[in-house]
Amino acid sequence: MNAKISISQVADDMECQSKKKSVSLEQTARILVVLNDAGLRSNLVGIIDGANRQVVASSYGNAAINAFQLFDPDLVIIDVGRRDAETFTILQRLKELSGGHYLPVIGLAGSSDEELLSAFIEAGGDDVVVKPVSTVLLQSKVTAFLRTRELYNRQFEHREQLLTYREMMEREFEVAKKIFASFICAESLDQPNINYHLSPKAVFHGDMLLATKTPAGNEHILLGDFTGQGLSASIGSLPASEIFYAMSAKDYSLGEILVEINTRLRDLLPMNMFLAVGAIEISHNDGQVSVWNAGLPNIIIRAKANDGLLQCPSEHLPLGIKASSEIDLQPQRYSLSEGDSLFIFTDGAVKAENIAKEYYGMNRIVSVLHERANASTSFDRLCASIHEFQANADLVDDITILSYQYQGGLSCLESSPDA
Amino acid sequence: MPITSQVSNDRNEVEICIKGRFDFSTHRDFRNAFNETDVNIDKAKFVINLRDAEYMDSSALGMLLLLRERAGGQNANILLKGCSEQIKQILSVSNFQKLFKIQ
Repeated sequence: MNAKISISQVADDMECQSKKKSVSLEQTARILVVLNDAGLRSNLVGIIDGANRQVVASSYGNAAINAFQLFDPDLVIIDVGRRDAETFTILQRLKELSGGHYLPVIGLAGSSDEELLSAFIEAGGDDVVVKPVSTVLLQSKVTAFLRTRELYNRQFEHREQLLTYREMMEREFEVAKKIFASFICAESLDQPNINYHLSPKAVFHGDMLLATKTPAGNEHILLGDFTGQGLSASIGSLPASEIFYAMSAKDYSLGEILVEINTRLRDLLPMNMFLAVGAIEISHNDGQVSVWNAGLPNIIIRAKANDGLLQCPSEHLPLGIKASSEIDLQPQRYSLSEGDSLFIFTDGAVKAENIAKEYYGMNRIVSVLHERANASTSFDRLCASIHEFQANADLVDDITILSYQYQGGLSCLESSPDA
Repeated sequence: MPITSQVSNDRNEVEICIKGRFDFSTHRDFRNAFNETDVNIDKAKFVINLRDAEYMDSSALGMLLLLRERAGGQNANILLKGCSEQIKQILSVSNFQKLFKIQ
């Protein structure tokens, strides 16, 4: 009966406390005493009770479990005087109910029977105090265990916060991945003379592939690689692609577009972030191609006539570092003939590593592209060669490659809306 | 310590030595190396000693840009010393010779 009265008091108390906010809950340690002997029970409560302590006593059996569930104690003191299964059942049940939290349980033993003590610890108990109870000893143990419990609680809280945070990040990652993917305008890239490899993961690490036709019939292609990794690296691809498509639609030249992207990125991005870019503008009237390489590995042009390779090294600072007034974005200009091809790639391709930690390197790229083939076949060979070199399928994720084959004069204009 | 820094007696020159990988993992140490030095940062000459650096990635390039901005941007006096061929190659792809003195 006593126990029941105590429990209802607890219920009232808890209601009051839940209105008071968790601050007071944290400061008050709750202790549950499970004892059948009513005299000893009130004696114990007297010993343990004190400032910032709230003690509830309960008898054995279901009463103890109910008290636990209502009271949610920080520490339990339980009588193990009787060496019966019930003590251990309650003990195990309480540990289960504490659900991942650390619940210290101190046993009160009638004698220093070692077998009993070790069985109690085995069953999940944390410590044992032998009767008659020393007030000082019990008080000290309670203080020490509450301290440990507090420590565990703080760890538990941090872990929960981290888990919540991670889940949130993963959700945002998924949303962001979809948004970024939609900026990579797949329809413009989806042409028989263009092959590309760009994984969603690479997009999220700041790789970017943009292609479009201007109303005048010029083709603009841009492969970009932002510094850094993760969402912050790819954030700049939103304004960059917006500028690229909006200005291309108004027939601005690619040179003008790159200047605008440089200006916007310099204003927008922190100083340590920049965009390495390979950009080509192809005029279908005369087969003139302008090539900008600002921080990417050599862009390669292959002549169909003699399979000769022309390498266009990086000549400009990556975009977003210097003010547009201080840089000169002059392109290299070449004349293309029908069947000539262009290859652009990020340094992920050059730096692809094999098991021996060697780089794939420019020489291997060049030797693959030297073999006579159309652009599409060479593209496939290059991807296969890197793949084989790495001997690990997943790593190709960080590499972005584009091949383009010039198909000569007006035939390419057919799909242009304004042609 | 992968990153150590030393200030000359006249407080006009700071030498920052980088050992091992120069990448994002050294971000904080590198920032501390130039933020906490007791020099007149606008006038000081910075020497980044890369003799013992094995590797450098694009976030290291970003860190160099942060130092450049902190040390006066256009007027910054920064020397990248002891660069291996591999590191020179990385710096030249990004055309950083336009921003830093490279040896």
